[in-house]
Amino acid sequence: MADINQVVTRVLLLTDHLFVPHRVRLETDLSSDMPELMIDRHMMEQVLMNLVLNAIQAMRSGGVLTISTIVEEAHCLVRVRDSGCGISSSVLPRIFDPFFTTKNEGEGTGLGLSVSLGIVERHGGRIMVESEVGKGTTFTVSIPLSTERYAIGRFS
Amino acid sequence: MKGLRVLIVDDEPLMRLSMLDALEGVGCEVMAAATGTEGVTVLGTRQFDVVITDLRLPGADGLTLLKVCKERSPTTEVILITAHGSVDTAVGAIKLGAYDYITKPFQMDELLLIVERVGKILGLRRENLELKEVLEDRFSFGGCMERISRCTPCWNA
Repeated sequence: MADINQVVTRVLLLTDHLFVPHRVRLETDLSSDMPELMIDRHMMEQVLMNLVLNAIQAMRSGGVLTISTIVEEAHCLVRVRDSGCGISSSVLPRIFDPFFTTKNEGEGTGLGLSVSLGIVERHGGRIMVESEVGKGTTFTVSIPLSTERYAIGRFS
Repeated sequence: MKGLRVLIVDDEPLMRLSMLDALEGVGCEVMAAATGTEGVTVLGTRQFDVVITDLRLPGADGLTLLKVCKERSPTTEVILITAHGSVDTAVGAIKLGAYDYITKPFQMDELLLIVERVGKILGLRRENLELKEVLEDRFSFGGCMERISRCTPCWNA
């Protein structure tokens, strides 16, 4: 059981030192009435960390990182939005493929998104992406509030 | 799970052998110890990604091993093997930092599934660390240049 806002806050604490040097302005909009979720806190932390790090990397000349949490239609949504380079529509369908990466050598193994998707799906959730080249990208992690879905495993 | 470094600690030889077999079969690098004390010693000799240990052991018990492991290497994940009916202890152990627990008797497949999950999260953690380093490196180079340009040339002092 975990409070998703706490997970987000912890991720931001761990990545805090990267914002100013990369000229990234952080905006948060964490909904105050988030229910406790049956999620593996450690795994979700790594998933959100991966999204935040990818976002910072996408904003090579600085920008705005917006993180928001909200409950919508019995789902908990965590949105990570950046104002970076965006993902082209030709690349977009492949970003969750294991080992697919658009990064340079040594900048990531290409496992981040595929593993993250696996973790979220095991929680009965989804990851949605919207992107526009030159404008930015929004990753939305959606996890159902219903506890019946969590019979999948004790901690995932 | 290839190359995942696993330490098994169990006082039942057959159990050790079965787990060793199953884990090596999926590509893990496995070492085994028969007592808690031996486990603690082996922990001190090298880095492990995963430790699978019985709760009840001769010498240092599973919980002690868990504590020592977490102190020495917080990123090493510990999976506890518990006897049926000791769920309280198991949940308590999770609070102490164990990643998960499995109740005897269990199928090897069950254990492998847990190890696979640990493998994935370790992979994601490693990736995030790498990404962080890349982002930090970029900064320190830039920061360095800034500091150099702000330095007062010594002949002006």
